[in-house]
Amino acid sequence: MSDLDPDFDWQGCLERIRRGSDEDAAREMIIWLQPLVARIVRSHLPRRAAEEDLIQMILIKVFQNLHQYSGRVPLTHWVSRVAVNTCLKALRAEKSRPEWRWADLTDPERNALERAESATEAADAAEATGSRELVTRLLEALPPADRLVVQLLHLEERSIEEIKTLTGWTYAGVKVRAFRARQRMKKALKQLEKEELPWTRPMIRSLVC
Amino acid sequence: MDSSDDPLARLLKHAAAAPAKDLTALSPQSEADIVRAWRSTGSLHLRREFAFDALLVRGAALALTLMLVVLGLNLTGLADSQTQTYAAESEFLDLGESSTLLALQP
Repeated sequence: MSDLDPDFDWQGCLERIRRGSDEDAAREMIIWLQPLVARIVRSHLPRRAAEEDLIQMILIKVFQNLHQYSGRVPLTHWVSRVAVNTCLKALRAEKSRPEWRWADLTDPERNALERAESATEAADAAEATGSRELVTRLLEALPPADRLVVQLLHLEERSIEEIKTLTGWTYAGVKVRAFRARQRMKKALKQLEKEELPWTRPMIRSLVC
Repeated sequence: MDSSDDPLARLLKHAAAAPAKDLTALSPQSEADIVRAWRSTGSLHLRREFAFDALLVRGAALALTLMLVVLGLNLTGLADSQTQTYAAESEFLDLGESSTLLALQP
């Protein structure tokens, strides 16, 4: 939400758009909403989808259904919900979910896994990025709804109330889904750990450092 | 989620701390496509609204016509039945009159 220009008069702009053919107002609205939509798309992008295409698809959907926006909630909430649901639909359209092997991981990802196992904090931004990439891989193997809930709850650090509003799920539904998703991720992590040969650890460390 | 002895919790915590990448900006062409799609849908909505209004007017006119026809038929039926009753009554009266006349005859 912090990406959005707080001084933008979205209500006035919306009024101009609703009145009819004010293309300038539509363009202003697109520019204003774009960072919000892009951030959601970035977090929930299917593997083979192009980020710009999905952003465009969501904004078209928003504009085509603008007459359905009742004004009871802020426009950004409504747009976020449209974006999350569109991403979820795109994730569901993915026919296959990959199963990653230890050999598929990059060095920063292997390093991130070792760091997580050894209970040490991520030292710098590069290591945090490695962790993010590893988590993204693990998320890709999850069902779409599980992936969404982990992304929102643990990576974007949103509250359950916020997730409830964004997805339309119940409070208990969000918690149960998050729990199941974590269980699946733990299982996948254990699988990776099992595949990792003990003698490779020092070698990888020497390669990374 | 307690991260003290849970590798997944630690991994998620590290991942959440990763710096955000720059967001993708839409190209002017994409923006134009969105506006074009919105414009075509806008006129589509108007066309649908007009079509619906026209359908509503036609439906109301048809319903009114049907109501008038039914009312007309009912009135005609009522008039017919009244005429029949009147004819039957007058026939009965005629019969009574003729039998009285017959009785009075010397």
